[in-house]
Amino acid sequence: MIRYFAIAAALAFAGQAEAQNQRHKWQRAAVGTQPIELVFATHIDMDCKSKGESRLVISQAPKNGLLTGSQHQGFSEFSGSYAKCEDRKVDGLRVVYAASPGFKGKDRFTFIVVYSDGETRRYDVEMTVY
Amino acid sequence: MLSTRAAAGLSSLVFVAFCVTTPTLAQQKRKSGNEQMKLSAVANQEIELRSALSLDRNCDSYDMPRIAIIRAPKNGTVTEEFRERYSNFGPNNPRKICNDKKSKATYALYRATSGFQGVDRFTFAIVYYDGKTDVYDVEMTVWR
Repeated sequence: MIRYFAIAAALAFAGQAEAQNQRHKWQRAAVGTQPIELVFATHIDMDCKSKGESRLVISQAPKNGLLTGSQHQGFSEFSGSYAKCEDRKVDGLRVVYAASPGFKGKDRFTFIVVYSDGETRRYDVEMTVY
Repeated sequence: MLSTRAAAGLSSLVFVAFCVTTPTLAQQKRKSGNEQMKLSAVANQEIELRSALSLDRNCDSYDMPRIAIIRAPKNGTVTEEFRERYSNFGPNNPRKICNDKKSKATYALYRATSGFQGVDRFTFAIVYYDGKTDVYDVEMTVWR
């Protein structure tokens, strides 16, 4: 199994120039219809409150499952002055995949998270469903 | 296995508030590549292969980890069960407060086929709520 996930997440913070049109290639897995939380995207201010809703764009939908985005309150990881926000739930966009009942094999899809300031992150996901 | 991952080091402050995260801190440490396990079992004995849990900072569980059987044993069965156990988050983990009480965990269990004696080999994975996995190759010596 591949696990360069942490690196991908860390690279997401490299800076403003790199933040434009960032693209991640991920390999993930699921067992049956187990819901998989792919990202929890937050965009917060110094007071830990959301700066605005992020939205999900499904560029290439999964053929054998459902990809959904919903506004959610959850814990996240932050650094620097925002580290204090880790001890509370913050608002964000939760992107979840769930395979179709009975499907086993590889499913592929692409989605984009669009932040309230117009920045985007793109994710190409190869999902192995056991 | 039971210690947690360190947070990814984020050097730039420019976009720190702009965080897409998979809440990896909640989970068990992962190693690169499949972990090799050499274990033994006696006929009809239930062997606890691994257990896993994913808790947030309130000690609430994320969706439970699941067990995937990638290569099934020829002479036994691997099953998934949910049981309560104590977590053991390290002293630097904010989730150490969760260690005071039991939390629901996912167990991977092995039991040899009745009458079998010898070596059984199989591969299973723990699949976490965010789709990340830990994969284990097991060589199981079964005694009668």
